Amino acid sequence: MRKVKLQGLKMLPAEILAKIMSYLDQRDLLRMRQASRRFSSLAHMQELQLRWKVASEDDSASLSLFALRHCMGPEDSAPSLAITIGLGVEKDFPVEVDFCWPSLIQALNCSRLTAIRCESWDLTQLQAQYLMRAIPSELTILGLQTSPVILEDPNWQRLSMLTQLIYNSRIGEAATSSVPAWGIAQLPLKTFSHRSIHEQGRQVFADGFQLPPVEILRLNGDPFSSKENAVSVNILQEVQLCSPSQHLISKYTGVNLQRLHLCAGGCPTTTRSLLEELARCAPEVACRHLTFGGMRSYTNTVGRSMDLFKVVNAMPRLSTLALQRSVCVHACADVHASANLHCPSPRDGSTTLCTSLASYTAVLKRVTVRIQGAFQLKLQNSSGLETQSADLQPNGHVVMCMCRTCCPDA
Amino acid sequence: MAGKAVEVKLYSCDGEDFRVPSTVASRSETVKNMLEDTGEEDAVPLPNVHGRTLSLVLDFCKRLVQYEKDLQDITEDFQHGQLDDEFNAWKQDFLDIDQAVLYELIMAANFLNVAELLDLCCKEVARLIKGKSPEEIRAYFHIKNDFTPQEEEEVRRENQWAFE
Repeated sequence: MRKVKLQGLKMLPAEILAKIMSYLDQRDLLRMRQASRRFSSLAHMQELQLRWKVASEDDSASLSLFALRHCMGPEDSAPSLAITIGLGVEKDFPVEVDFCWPSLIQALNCSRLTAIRCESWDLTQLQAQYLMRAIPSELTILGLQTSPVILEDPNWQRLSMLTQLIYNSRIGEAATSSVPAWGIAQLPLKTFSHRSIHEQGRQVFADGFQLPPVEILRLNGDPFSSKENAVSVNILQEVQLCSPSQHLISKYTGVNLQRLHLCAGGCPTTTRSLLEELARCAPEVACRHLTFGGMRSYTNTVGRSMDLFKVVNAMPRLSTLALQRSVCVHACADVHASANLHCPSPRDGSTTLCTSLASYTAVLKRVTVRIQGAFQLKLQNSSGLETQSADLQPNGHVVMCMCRTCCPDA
Repeated sequence: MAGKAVEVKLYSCDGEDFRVPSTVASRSETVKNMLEDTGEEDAVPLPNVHGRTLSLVLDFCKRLVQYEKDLQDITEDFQHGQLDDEFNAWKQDFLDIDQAVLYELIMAANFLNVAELLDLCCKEVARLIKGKSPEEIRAYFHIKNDFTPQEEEEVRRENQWAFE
C-alpha cells in the first residue's frame, strides 16, 4: 500500500498514464520524459501523437501499443499480455503513415507482447496492409474487425483469414449477452498464429470451437451498422478452406436454437452460400423462428430466394418466418424469377407459374410469416426491372398476383 | 406520480454495503452490465473497490445524474451556463483529496468504467503535472530518478527548449 501511495503515478497502468498525458502539451510531455524512465517513452509517444494529430485529427491508434512497448517495467511480469489497437481513422492515412507506422511495428515487435486485438471500424487497405505486415507471427490474434470492402479484394486473403478466425471467435461474443462488447479475450479461445493459419485454423475447427448455447444468433452483413456485436456474414464469402457457415450451422446442430435471424445484407453470393449451407444442415437445426432482413437491392439475385424456400422446407420445426420488407421484395421475386415465372420474356409458361405459386403458398401455409412493414411482392426480370407484383397479406399468403398477365389493370 | 426509483445494492471489497438508485449505479458500465446479467435485486460485489473509494465514485455518479437531470429541466439558455458552473465548482471540491485517494479513484473509475470520472481524475493529475520541471514532477509524485546522469543529460540536450 505504501508503494502505491508513494509511487502512485508511476504505478498506474500504462493506458491510464497515456490518458493523463493526452491532456498535456508538448512542453509538459518533454518534461515528463525526463522525470522517469517509465514515463519517457510513453511521453515521447504522446508527444508524437500530438504532432501527428495536427495532420490527422481523429486517431487513437497507437497509444496503447506505445504504452505497452515502452512502459512495461519489471513489475509488469504478466505471462501474456493482450493489447488493443483502435484505429479510429476514417480517412486514408496521408503521409503520416510513414511517420506513425514504423513505430507501431516496432511496438508490435515487443518481445513480451503475446496477444493483440484490433478494433478497426474503418481500417483502410493501407492501414490493414501495414498492420498485417506488422503483426509478428508469434502473436495471438484475439480479435480483428475490418471493413468487408477490404475482404472483397483477393489480395487480402491473409487478412481475411485472420478475420475469419476472429469471426469464429466473435461467435461466442455475439452469442452471449453477458460478455461485454469486444470481450474476446474472455472467451476460451485457442491460440493460433497467422504463420500457419490454414493448419491452425483447420485444427481449431476440427477440435470444435465450444460455443455457448444461445437463443438468438444474429448474422449481420454489415457489422458496422449494428450495435449488437453482430457477426459479419460477408466474411463467409472469403472462406474457402473451412466454411464458417457450415461450421456455424453444424455447431448448432442439436442445440436448442430457437430463433435464427439472418440479416444478410450486402452480398448475394454470401447470402446464397449461407442459405445453401443452412438448407443442407437445416433438418438438424431445431430452429423455430427465422428472420430474413436487410438485404439490399441487387439485380442479379436469381436463384437466391429459391434457396430461401429450400431452407424453409428443410426446417420442419420452423414455425415463424419473419421477412423484412427489403428481403421480401427481392427474395420472393426471385422465387419467380429463378423459375422464369411471370417474366416479360418467360422461358416458362403460366403452368410453371401455378406450380411454383402453389408450392410457394404451401410453404407459407405451414409457416407463419410475419411481414415487417408494408409489403408488396414484386417481381423482377433479369434486368432488375420490377415487372409484376402481388399483394401479400400479413399472414403471408399470396392473395393476388398483380402481374399484367393476371391483372391487366394493375 | 412517478414510482420510486429502483435501488440496487453494491458492496465493496471490504464488505461495506451501498444502496443507490439503479440510475446512479448504472453510470458505471461495469455495474450496469452486471445488473443486466443478474438482475437488480441481486447485490453486486465489487471486489476491486474499497468502500471509501466506492463512496466517492457513487457521490460523483449521483451528482452527475443530478446535473443531467437539471440540464433536461432548464428552460432558459443562461441556466445552462449556471448549471455548468455549479457542477464545475462541485467537481473542484470533489477533487480536493489526497493524492493516494486520487489514484485509487482513478483505478476505481477505470474498473467500474465511469468514463466521466476517469476523465475528470486524469485531467486532475495532468493539471498537477503541468508547468512542473522534471525535478518537481519527481518530488511531487515521489518518483525516483531512474536515469543515469548521461541519459538525463541527453534527454535534456535533445529537448532544451522545453526547459527554458
